[in-house]
Amino acid sequence: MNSRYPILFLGALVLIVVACSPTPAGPQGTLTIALSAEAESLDPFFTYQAAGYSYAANIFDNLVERNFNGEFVPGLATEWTVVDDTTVQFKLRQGVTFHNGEAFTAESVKFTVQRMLDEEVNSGARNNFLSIDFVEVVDDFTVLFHLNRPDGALFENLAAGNLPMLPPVYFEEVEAEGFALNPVGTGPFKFVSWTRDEALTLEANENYWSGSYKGMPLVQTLIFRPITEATTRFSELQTGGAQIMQDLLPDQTAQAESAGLRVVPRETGQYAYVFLTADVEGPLADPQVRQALNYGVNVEGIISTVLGGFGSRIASPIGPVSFGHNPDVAPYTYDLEMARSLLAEAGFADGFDITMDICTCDPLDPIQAVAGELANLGINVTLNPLELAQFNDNWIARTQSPMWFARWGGSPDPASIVFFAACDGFISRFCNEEATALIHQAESTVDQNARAQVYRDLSQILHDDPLGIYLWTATSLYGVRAEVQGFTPHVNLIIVASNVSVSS
Amino acid sequence: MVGYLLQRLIHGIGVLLGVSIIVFFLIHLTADPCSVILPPDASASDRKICRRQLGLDQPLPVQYAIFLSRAVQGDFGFSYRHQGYAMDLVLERLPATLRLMAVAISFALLVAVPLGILAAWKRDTPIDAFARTFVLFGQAVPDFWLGIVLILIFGVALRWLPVSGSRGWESLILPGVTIGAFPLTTIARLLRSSLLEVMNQDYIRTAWGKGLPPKAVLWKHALKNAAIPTITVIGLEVGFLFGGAVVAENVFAYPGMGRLAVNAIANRDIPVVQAFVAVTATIIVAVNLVVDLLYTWLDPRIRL
Repeated sequence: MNSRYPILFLGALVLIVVACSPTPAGPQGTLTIALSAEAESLDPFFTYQAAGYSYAANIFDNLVERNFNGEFVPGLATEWTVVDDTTVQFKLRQGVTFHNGEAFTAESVKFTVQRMLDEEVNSGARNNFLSIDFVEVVDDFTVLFHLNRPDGALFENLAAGNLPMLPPVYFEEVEAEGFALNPVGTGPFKFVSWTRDEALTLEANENYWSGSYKGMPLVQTLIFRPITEATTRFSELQTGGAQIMQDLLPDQTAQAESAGLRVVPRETGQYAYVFLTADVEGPLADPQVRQALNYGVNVEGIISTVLGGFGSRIASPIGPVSFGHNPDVAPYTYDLEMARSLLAEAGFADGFDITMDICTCDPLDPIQAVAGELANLGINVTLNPLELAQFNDNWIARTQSPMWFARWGGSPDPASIVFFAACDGFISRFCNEEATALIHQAESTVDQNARAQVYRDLSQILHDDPLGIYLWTATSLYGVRAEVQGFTPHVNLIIVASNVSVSS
Repeated sequence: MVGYLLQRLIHGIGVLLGVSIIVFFLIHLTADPCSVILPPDASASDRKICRRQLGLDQPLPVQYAIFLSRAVQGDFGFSYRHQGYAMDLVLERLPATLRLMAVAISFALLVAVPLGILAAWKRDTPIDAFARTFVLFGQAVPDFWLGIVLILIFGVALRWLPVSGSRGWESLILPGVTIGAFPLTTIARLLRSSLLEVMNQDYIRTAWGKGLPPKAVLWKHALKNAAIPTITVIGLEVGFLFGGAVVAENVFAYPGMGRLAVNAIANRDIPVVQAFVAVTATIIVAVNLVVDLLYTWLDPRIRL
């Protein structure tokens, strides 16, 4: 196996020499990426959205990474062993330095985890790491994670982007405030400057360690520009002000293609639902009614028309992109007769009137299409638009309307469905004892193959006793200019800009 | 004069206080900042810690009292979302927004004044009809739409000007025109009607009777008096300029105060919203005071 590497390496070298022979080697040019939102902070402990995770993925590295397809691959840990249910050993990559020259060692891991667990730091992601009791430094490049309970989602959380490795010496020197203004990581790009809402400028880290799934930085300067207005963002792409654009709208794709721009779709682990309050008296408490609603919405039709063909139907919260997806569980077919007879059996042959909360942050057309479909069953839906903060507040306080449209997830790992799919989930409006038992079993199963099987079993239960109307997978659309090579969209909605080059 | 200024100062403080109370209670009525700051899967205990750290676990009047006692010392607190003091974040953005507003009001005046004068001077001619249609159109067009159309024409089709961002003076033109369009129409319309009114006054008839050339009648006699209501409106338009900046900065991805404010509102970043409101309210109060002082210069009969 090892003997193949030199050959591959030589092959790559020849290609590089051929491709770049007239120009000097090394990162070149500038790549500008137009994002649809600005990050909350440059401190990866305090970002919870795609923009912040994209910044972090280019400046920092995680111990364990998910590659573009969502598979776990080595990051700053070269290998890991589950010693027992509550102990995991990580072997660390040697010879890696932070951008300031500080060496990456076991102490960096220990410090980073301690900071995450510190209650006073109060990272919003802390909740994901509470299974970690402490990190034991075995030697410079070996650490043991001692857990207080078996944690099936540990690797998922390590790879999710909130716990990239930080440099302890530098951090103590500049403290949290200074670190957020001038972050230092081990990633493919080094921080240069940030003007909030204007641009984040990074430069190539020419000493980036080899072997990362991200690849080496190929452009000298990398600029992220947050442009919230979609038309403006698209205009920048058209005029060359940006070479890659995040969140192209489905109705911009035809124009993009006719202008010679590439449209790159990426199906993600984020799924759209109409959630249903199954825990209060009323029609939705009846599983038959919830099934009827799933039969009664022509999801395929909405995907092919309103969503421009981007996305696919989900059969349960463990959708086609998810870890533990069960391909044998088929999505509900579109069957109005079946829907009507189920409703009649449940005593709602004439339908009912109901309210649906929607977030003003979501596009309205597909939601209106769903409501229109329900009208065919005699279910008259009144849409109640709310701003994101109020929408979330209602959900957490359980004061939402009986129906609410939301997208959940992003990562291929389904661990977070516990919050709304288990009886004891803190925002759950649904209870199925059997499903809850499986969800908790998955939580405490460290062996990933066994854990995947639990989720496959769970898929069937949540399909048959639906907690909502299962709609579609969210597809991220990127607009890419012709001069860009090597761009691969990541399943986690982040943009990794190493390995991307721009020809002049 | 000094007495008047003192009185206005006290009024101004009252306005600021009132604005701060309204904004404070409105924003607290809507949603818990912690449900936006933390990710959706944060635990109940993390939410509790968050609320305690932000002081949101106190009763509202207590929170307001604490806020006010700090605000009078210029301390609006630490931004919930960004690392940094709220007032610093706002003041850091203020110059960018003022630059934009300066371009907007200059553009508005450069077009509105000649347009208003011409329309009044050539009353009921095709020029007047054109001016009135133009004004009507300008008032009907929403600024976010105008901004996007300007981008498509001058940024994408003609490529004369940058589409977005803040790279040099060229970046100010499109958002400046977008913001200036509405004040332009208001000023032009008002100037036309006040000039028409003044032109019927006795002293203008006297001026004509003295055999003064039309230029002198217009510039020395008519315009100075017709300017008073117009100047008042310009003072009032400052508020609209801020409103326009909020929209235009988002359309043009321009890193000004308005964009900061929109993000702060969406994220319930209360300290930043309060600091933004304090700064804009102060500027509006100050501009209106300056307008009052201008009256005395324009019309010596007015005594303050």
